[in-house]
Amino acid sequence: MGLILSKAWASLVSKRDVRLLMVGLDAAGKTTVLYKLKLGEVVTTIPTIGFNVESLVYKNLSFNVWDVGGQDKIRPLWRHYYANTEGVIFVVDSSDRDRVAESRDELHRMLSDDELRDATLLVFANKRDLPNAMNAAEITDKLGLHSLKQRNWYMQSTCATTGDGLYEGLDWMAQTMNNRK
Amino acid sequence: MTSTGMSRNDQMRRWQKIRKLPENDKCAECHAPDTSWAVLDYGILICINCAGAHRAMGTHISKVRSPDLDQFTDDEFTWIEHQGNAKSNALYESAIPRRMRRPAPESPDCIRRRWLREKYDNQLFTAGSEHTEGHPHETACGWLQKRGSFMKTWKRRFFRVQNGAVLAYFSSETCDEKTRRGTYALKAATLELDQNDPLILKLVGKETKGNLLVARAETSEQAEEWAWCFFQCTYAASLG
Repeated sequence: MGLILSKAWASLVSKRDVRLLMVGLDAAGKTTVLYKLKLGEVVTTIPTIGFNVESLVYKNLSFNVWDVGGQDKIRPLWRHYYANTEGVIFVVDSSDRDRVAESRDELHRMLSDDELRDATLLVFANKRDLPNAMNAAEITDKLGLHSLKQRNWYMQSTCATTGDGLYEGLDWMAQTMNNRK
Repeated sequence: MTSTGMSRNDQMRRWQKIRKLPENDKCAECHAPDTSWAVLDYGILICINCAGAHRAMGTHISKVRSPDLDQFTDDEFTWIEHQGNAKSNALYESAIPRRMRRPAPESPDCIRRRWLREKYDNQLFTAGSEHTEGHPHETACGWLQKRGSFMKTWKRRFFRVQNGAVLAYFSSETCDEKTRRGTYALKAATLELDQNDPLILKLVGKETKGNLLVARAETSEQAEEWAWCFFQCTYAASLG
């Protein structure tokens, strides 16, 4: 009885650690997303050379979010962050029509890695407030998300500077992680 | 990448050449000695802080890349070689008001962003723009909270820039002698912002440190507007 109670208590108060990797092309808004979630503020960002990592306690989870720079030459470094990653947040600039194909290629290349075979995928279609931004359906199509078999994925359009959509996405991620354990 | 992509070595060699050109010896915006980033749209070289501010405008205005970290195409480099900082600024600053101040390497980010917004999005410094004479902010006015210089309490004051040189503050919008609560000379002051509170604006006397004015805006938009106004007026006033 005591054991059951203490287990029930533990499940109420303990926060399961979940490792999330946030990647995407340069200037998609990854660092802005990270600090909007962490601090509730829009921080001044410069291009990330390397990575930022922050822990976000949300629902009953403790997300460790790794935000890794997106320039061409540092994309090959993403794979060094794959181990033990349970969820990927892939950030796309909704207004950057010229590079959405490049985004798709990077996304599919990453997901083909065996270390990420069980990772869930949350796509943030960011900067939805900018003129001529693609909508969620168009981005879903252009990223080829429907071709992802066996992958648990979710598309959320966002505006990181106002915070719109970020928590809807994180809600989905939390729910998915809770169903898993 | 694309068929016109360059080999890594070719790219680095050409990039070093471009950086060594005298017209590209400093950041096209704030004149910092760092020129490690490029903006494809304008064919310019900029520092990492201005790279952050440029890309914040969105890719419909600025596409920012690093020749050290991104793959460039042959055409992109040819354009940057042809254009460069001097030619681009000759265009985008062709009609810049004489007393308009550009951001410095140490300027706060909101100043940098405002500069870029005016220069590229609004094209305010380009020939044909109506704003070549004077500054609209040389007559700026509005409500701010002012911190008392002895008692550190906040009082609501109506601020007004007079002749672009003096900041006067009043207890009412009538701005008459009766309601005037004080004045501050902008000529000898510099703007400082608070790292922790984006609503706070400080004017600090250049010589006498005691000459301090602390004000607080209600919204971050207001604070940024006043920051830009103070940044410009303190400079314009010092030119006389």
